[in-house]
Amino acid sequence: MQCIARLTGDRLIPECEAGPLMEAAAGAGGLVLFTGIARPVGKDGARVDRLELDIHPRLTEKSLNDIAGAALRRFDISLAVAIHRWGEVPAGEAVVLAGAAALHRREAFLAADFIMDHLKTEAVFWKREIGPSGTRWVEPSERDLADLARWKD
Amino acid sequence: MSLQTDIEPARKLAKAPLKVSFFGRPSDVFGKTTIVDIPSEGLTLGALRQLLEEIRGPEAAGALGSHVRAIVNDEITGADLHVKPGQDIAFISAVSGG
Repeated sequence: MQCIARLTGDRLIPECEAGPLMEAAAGAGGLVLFTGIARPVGKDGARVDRLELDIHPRLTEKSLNDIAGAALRRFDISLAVAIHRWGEVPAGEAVVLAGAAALHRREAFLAADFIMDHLKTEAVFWKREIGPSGTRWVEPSERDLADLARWKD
Repeated sequence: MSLQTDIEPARKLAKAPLKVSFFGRPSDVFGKTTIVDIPSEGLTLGALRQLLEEIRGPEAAGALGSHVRAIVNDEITGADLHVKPGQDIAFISAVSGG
């Protein structure tokens, strides 16, 4: 079992990450990779030029490890992935890569979904949208919290 | 008057600096970090919230309310812990990745 959880301040390019992750998934029957992309519009429909993600110097990376580790313990998977960008992210670029590898696809899909729901609500980031109409903090929505609740035993 | 009696009031008045960081919404009001003088024996997080809001002025009223959690020595907490100079303290709004 392997956990790949890390922060990057550089541009996150999913196609460049996919190769090493395929190698890490060797022996699995499937690798699910989800890419979260910075949206060009906010919830109110206003244009968003970029996201700004602030991090805690120690807790943010730990939270990625904790979430990926929880997925490894919960699901029958061989690889859990949580790679997250921080700093300024222009709209249209990747913010996060979440995924899992398993012998069978169902567990990999479930684990990737679990990782994303926890990243949305428990990963230690402070995120704001920046556009022509100003800035807006983005915090977990009711939908995000409901999604998280699906995993509570 | 004993020596102990003389020292005690002075000790209670003694202050020491505490560095406090802010993440998310509180940073809009307080900036990224501030240094505040607190009693050398420490104080509760509730008292620290009040002190910081008072120092910052009316615009900060309620900015560190109960919706704002704290990080004390790398642990996120909603409890009203006692903190002391030298500890690593931060106030944070809700976290969200993805």
